[in-house]
Amino acid sequence: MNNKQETFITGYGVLCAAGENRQAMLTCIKQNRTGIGRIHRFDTQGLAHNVGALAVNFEAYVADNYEMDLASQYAIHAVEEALTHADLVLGEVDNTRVAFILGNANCGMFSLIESIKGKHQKGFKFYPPHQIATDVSRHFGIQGPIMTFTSACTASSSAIAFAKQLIENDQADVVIAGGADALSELVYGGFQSVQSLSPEPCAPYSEKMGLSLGEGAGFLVFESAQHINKRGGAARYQLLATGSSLDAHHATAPNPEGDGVRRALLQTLSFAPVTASNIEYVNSHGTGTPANDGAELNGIQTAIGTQAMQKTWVSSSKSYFGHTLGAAGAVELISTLVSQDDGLLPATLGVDSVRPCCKEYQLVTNQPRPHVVDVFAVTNSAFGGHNTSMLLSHQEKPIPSQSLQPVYLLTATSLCDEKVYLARENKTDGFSEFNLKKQFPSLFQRRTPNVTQFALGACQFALQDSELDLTQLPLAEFAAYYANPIGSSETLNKNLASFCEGIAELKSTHFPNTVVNATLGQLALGFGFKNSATCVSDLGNDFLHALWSATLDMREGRSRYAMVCGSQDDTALSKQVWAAHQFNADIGHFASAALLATSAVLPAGYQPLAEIIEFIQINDTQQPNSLDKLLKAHARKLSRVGNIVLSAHHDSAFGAIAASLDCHLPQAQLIKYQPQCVPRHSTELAVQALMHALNTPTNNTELDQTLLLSVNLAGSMTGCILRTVRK
Amino acid sequence: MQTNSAIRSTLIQLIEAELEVDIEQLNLLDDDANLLEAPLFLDSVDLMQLSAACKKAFKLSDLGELSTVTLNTLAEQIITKLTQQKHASLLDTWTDQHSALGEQALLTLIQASKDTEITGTVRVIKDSAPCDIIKSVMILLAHNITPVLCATATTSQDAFSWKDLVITPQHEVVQPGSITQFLQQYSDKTIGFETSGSTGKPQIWQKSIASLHAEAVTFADTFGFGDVDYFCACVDIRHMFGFIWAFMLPLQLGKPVCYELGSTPDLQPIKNKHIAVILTPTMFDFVADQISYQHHYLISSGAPFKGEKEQKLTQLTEQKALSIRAFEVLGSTETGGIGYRPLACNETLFTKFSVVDIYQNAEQKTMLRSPFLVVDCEAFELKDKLVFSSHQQFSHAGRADQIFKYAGKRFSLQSIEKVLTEHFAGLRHKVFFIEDSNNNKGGELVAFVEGLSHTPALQDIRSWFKDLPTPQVHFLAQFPENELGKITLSALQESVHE
Repeated sequence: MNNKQETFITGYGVLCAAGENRQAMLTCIKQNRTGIGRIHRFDTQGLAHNVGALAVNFEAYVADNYEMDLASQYAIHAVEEALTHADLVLGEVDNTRVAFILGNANCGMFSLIESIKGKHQKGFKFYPPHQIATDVSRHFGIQGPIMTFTSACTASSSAIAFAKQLIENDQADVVIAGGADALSELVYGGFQSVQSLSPEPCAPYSEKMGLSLGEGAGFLVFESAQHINKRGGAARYQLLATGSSLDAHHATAPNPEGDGVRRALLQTLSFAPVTASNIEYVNSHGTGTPANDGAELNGIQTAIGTQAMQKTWVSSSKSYFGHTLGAAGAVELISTLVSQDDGLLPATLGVDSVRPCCKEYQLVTNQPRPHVVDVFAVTNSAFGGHNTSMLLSHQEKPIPSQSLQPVYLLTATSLCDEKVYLARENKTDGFSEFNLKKQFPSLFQRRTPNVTQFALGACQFALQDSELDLTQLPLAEFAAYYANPIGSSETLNKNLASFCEGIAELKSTHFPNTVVNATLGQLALGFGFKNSATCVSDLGNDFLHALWSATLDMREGRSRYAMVCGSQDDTALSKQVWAAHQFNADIGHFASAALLATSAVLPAGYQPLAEIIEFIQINDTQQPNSLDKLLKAHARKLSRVGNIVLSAHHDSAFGAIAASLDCHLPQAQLIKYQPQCVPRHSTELAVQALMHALNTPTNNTELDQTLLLSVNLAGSMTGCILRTVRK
Repeated sequence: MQTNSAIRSTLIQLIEAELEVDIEQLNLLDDDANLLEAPLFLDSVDLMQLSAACKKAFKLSDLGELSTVTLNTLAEQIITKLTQQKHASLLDTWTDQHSALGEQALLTLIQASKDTEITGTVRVIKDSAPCDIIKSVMILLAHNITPVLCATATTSQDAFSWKDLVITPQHEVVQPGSITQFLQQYSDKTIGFETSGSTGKPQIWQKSIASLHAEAVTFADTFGFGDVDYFCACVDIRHMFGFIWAFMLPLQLGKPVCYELGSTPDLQPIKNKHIAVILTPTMFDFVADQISYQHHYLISSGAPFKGEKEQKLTQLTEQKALSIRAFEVLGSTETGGIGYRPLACNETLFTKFSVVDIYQNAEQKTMLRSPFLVVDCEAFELKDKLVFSSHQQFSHAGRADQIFKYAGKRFSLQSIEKVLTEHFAGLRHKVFFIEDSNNNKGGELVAFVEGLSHTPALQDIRSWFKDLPTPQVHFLAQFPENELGKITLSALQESVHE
């Protein structure tokens, strides 16, 4: 049984079209004022309309001398406010126990486009979304876990869910989590190409159809009760539970019945110390599009029941500040919190006439409703059919203890598949020439980019390699976790080519595949995965982070099976991105997949590859003493480590890390992993190192665990403790 | 308007290129198959892209919802929208088969072009689409450069098109004034019109903006056009006649114009709207069947409107009980409008435009004086034979007597024509004397006869002319007509050599 740490929100900060701080946002809400207006930052000539919600005073951040992406600057602004609100000085806490978790959808697209326009040279450097997390976290001197969630519009709610898991599992004392996104013309034109944008400020649930794109950042400070008490802070709200699901329905359109929303909310409720009837208010995703609003409300009602729904107020805050995409979950949660701080429920503005499908619900429209609630929910949905929900409360609620499920790695394909791997090493076959249409035609769909084709193929290999009876596997119960550092650069290339002809030339057939989690949606569609999901990005440790997210979910019992997949493509554009990170990417595409299961479903006598024990992470290995502090803090967890497999993209990292490991883990054998064949992809080294760790079991029954340590391109190190089972 | 089969062909290309559908699958596609089902299985994202691609390919501002989509329904939807769009865009703009142009947009473009340097003092315009021609002409005038309109394709590398300019796109802001006011600023400037000439020798005539404007005002005053909602022009505005009637006149009247060129002009009117049709006799044959009660005016010029054409118009007017006011306008690039004749009412006399003065000079030459003359011409010697029945009315008796000197003797071309008429009654014929100093007889006499199935022997032909010189007679199945309906010597000679 695990006595979970309860997770509290102690501060929050925001920057969006509705204001550049909490107070400004509240004023906007109280004055029924929308921040949505005309877009003048970029040229929208040729588009049907140019309505959007740019961050207040964005001009102050759009400097000629770029030190980081616009989204990073927005994030820093919001984090500063959140820390002040939490009355927390980071310099006064152990920075290795502070985590930073980012949600982002647009990557560093703003910088990339500016670079393409010739305004500066750093667009490729700033393009990977994890660069935003790296820049912001290092600005604040954070040394604990750094993760980036990139599941489009659910990215920041995924980040918040992970923050809760870090607190509950005592992997951090303070987690700063939220989302940041800067609007670029490529994204704006893309949404226009799929005919989603509203010609006037969006008014979800109303007869006026369409969404308004926004931008900005919203961050919250999460702490355990123990830490709040220790530093004399104040808990403001409690994050009770979170949940997620996959629609497995369509690349961009949600399930018309809101089934994915229903399952995400039901999962959240199943982990919450409250019941559906306790929910008094739902801040819904409510985009304003015909496909979303009615389906989402139906999904919420189906989850909590018609009776409870009749007593539950619902609104979407997007009419104040637009759809902030990767920041949406966080910014919308903050809009609820600032409203509640003033005894209000935020409204949906501009609702003159409610759509027939939304009429039966208790909507807060046109002006905020004076009403203090205890338990409330926030729901979000994204491209790829990913849904998230979270439950929060004013009053503290004890979280029941929970038994944790051991999580096993059953197969790890692509590199584990000896024939394919060796063939590839010898350049005689080809995984690089892998053809999904020929090999697994049932998984192939027209226009599927290589990064997705390879992911689908790797997952199919992983299933086959498991030697389980595939016909008996409950695929709909599978959770899915996808990792990719920059999304489909092939699609981005196509999109940029269209963009060069004009913003109005962007194609609807390309746009859905530009979001990083498009592949996650295709995995769900291809295999029917419908359970929990996340999509993560890093600068090399992507796959390990997806594995981490999966492990935490499964350990809590959210799913019994999970597919973890990472893929990466190779184009002229991706080469430029990696060159900017001092990594010379080689040719070909790459994917890896791992099948996980809890002990509960392992057939009798089945030997998994390994048990996943724990993850650790440190933000910057170059910072003196940080690694020592990390290893010291995790000394108990690391006490059974017999082997350490250490890999790093840049050789300069090895010396200091090895010295520290020698000091703190003298019992362990250090294996410096430097493959003969230089990795071709930024994410590949960590996967190769993982396979090496799996293939290098210890023979010591006392020291039966292997610690895999992988340093990414930014010098951030993620560790995974494994206990090899199959030897 | 594109045909259904042309639209279908474009659709297939778009589906293959834009939606990345294999051609093998497309080959299996039936015209009535739902695109969302077998064999293509398109989805909503595909339909959005297909919709966007169709809008671009067919220059549609809107295609509407695509619900149950087959190639047939989509083609029909496109045709419907093209028709609707044409009708909608007609109401406030110049419209051709490629684009539409509003007055404000034109003013904005002219304003924006002023930041761009354009060299030269005279530039031939290479555009062929009316809206492009209008833009190029106005931009050159704004830069004090004389535009020259030439109906034949120019090969000059110096030829100008507004499309070659790098003009910074600007959001359309309301520009003060109008195109009429803009032209008034340049009233002393000229536009050059190149004529092919009946002798086949191209010649450029300069017309001042003031004279073009004066002509448009006269036509507006003479004919009224008060109940006309818009003009439908089947004439090329690179010709003087087209420029006056299909640009200057509608501009003067503040009425939109739809340019319908090519061999399939579409005269279908907008519901409840009244149209004035501007055409040449040749184009009349292509559009006659489309003429309806909504066509209130028909103006023909460029060549004589007579014989079968006038009979057909008369029949149509009677059969359909049309109240159309049809006129033939006599004039040329050099002279501008001279007079007009009502059609389909057995009227053979032309009425002289009131500002036109025709007189005999001291040398007994027929001279014309009017505000419509080419630049630097006070009075123009008429080559046409006009027989006045009153001060204002006259009949057109063809070209005035043309005397040629052959082997030292003077002869009249009409005497040659008279012989041809006797022997080829009912058939069109033309006769020319081509002066040539290298020819010991002073030149070559040639004649052309159309549509004769049995060619007479040379000896017989010689016997017909007796004391007259015998022309070299060429027998052609059909006379070549240019877009104005004119038959030129050069075209006839080309036909002989084909």
